[in-house]
Amino acid sequence: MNLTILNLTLKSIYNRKFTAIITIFSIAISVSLLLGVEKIRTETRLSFANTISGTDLIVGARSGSIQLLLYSVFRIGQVTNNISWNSYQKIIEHPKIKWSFPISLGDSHKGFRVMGTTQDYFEHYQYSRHKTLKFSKGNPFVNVYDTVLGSDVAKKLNYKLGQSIVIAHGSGEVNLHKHDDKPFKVVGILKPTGTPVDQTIHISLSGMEAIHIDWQQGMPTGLNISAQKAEKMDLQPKAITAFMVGLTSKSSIFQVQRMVNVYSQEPLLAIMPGVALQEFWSLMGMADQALWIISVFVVVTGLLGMLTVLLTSLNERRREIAILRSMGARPWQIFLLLMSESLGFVLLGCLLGVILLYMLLIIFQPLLEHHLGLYIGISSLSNSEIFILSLITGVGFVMGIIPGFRAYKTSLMDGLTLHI
Amino acid sequence: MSLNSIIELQQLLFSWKKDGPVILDIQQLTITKNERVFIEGPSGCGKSSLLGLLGGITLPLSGNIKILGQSIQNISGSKRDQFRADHIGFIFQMFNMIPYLSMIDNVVLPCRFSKKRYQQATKKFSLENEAKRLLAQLGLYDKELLSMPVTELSIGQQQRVAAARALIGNPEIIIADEPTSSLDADNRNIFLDLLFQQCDEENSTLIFVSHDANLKHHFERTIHFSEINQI
Ligand SMILES: Nc1ncnc2c1ncn2[C@@H]1O[C@H](COP(=O)(O)OP(=O)(O)O)[C@@H](O)[C@H]1O
Ligand SMILES: [Mg+2]
Repeated sequence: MNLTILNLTLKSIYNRKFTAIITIFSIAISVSLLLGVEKIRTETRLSFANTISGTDLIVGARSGSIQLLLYSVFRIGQVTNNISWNSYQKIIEHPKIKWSFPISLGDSHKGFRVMGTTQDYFEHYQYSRHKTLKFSKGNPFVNVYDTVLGSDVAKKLNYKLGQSIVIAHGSGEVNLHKHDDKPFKVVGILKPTGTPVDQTIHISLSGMEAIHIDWQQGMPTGLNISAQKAEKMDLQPKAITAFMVGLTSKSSIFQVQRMVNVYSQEPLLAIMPGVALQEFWSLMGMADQALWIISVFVVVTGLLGMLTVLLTSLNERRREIAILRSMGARPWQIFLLLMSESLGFVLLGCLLGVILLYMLLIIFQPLLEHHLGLYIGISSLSNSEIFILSLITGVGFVMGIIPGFRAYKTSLMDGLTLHI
Repeated sequence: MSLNSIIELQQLLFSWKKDGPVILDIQQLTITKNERVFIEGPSGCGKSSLLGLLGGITLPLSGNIKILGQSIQNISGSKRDQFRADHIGFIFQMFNMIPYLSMIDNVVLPCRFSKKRYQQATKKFSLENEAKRLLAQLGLYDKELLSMPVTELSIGQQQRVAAARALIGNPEIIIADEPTSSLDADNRNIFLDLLFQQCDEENSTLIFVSHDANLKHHFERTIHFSEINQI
């Protein structure tokens, strides 16, 4: 008997295919929007958190902790102050410090940031739960004018090992000053990491020093020291931008952090990358929460549209309800008739929404990865996505009670005669 | 109560709303088995309201409604619905069809709500063939008609489909509420002849309601609504 009702529901929906399809589509689109926003949200959060791992502290000149995080890890923003080489050396003498590597920023090549560091970087930098950097070709730099490219740099600029590149002063696509007297040779290309490392050009600190040896205050002095000559000069840097530190044990993090923060020779700041990421995320979170709330409203709008369609159809269906009643249909079966219709709309809407989401993902995944460096994995529905879908179905179910109950009451009040 | 009585009303009071005006006040009405009864009265006098009571869709304020020996005001709502599904076939004035069902599906629908009618309908043939047989008896044997959307049938044809639906599974009582009021004279006569014929064949008691007093010569018994209703 309930199969009868289900059968009636399906035929009734089929009979009104046009409105049904529009209703289902509007639910589907809103569902895929919400799931898409959710997906991007979690994936960005994940790729964010995966950018750095295994580093206990990042030390830079005193500024905001988010600012330090952004330029040291994400190569975003401008560096305002440096750390002197002496302070760096003095701090890493601390017995609890196991390893460290310096970072020196400021130059670029065709829009990609150039980072001066040491070989320790290739050994100790970790991302995404203790993964270390791997070379797809070549080796770490050895000579002053050697460079190691991130995978995106090599891919986009189509650079091979042995290629010679010229580094420009400052960042940005167009540079007034080029260090074209001291070209670098590509000796290594890293494997993709899905982090800003992929967009970084790595050179040694001495290389960094060498290209600036005839410079002062960001301008060439006109001395024109040749590459070979510079190589033989003292290439010990006087300052670095920041450095990253690994400790012998996690328990000494606060001790070392305090030591840095109260360092008397110059104002320094030590941050824990995890904490700073969290802090940064809570800032970013506002924007993505807004997006999230908007998508929730879009879904509600879709469901309200369905409600409108069902309530409008109810008036046309009073006659049908009276006929069904005359044949012995129970009032609760009339309720079920309308209820299963809204449930059908919502379930089909969710199903179509999920299909739509995967189609969009397949289409846009390469674009997102290419332009934003955001890799979104195409996997089966996550728990939170399944939760969202059940929640939508639940809300649709509750909304379906309204026309269902109206039909129920109508069926009792009308009897056989429609009393308008 | 006579042995043959199929419907028996006593001291019936009815109003649509609890404290609304009483529109039915019927002391006594008995309808016996195999009768064809015509109930005649002007529009708005309460004929349809009475039929709702006979079908157990609505309940009286007071009084007793006995159908096939069962006092239906004393049983639960779902039992009443089942009782109606098992024993009564309805035909209305117009818009009898469930618009999204085929002609056959419309006809067999009552058997989906009543096991008893399903069993009776499938005694000789499959359900679908029984529907076709009834439709053919009512003059709808055209194969092309069967595949047409019911909403595209003429009103005369729709009423005959409705009659087949009321008759399927052989319910004891057929209640027809102005089934001919939307038909022209020719169609009306054809419809009445076919309906009578089928009721005879199936041994059904027919209660036929209309405001059109001209129909009464078709019936063996006519009840003037104003004579039974005290209001
Ligand atoms: N479903 C209903 N709800 C409330 N009042 C109704 C309903 N159906 C009919 N009525 C009222 O009951 C009275 C009798 O109507 P009805 O039984 O339809 O008369 P008839 O069938 O003889 O034309 C009318 O006053 C009508 O307005
Ligand atoms: Mg009426």
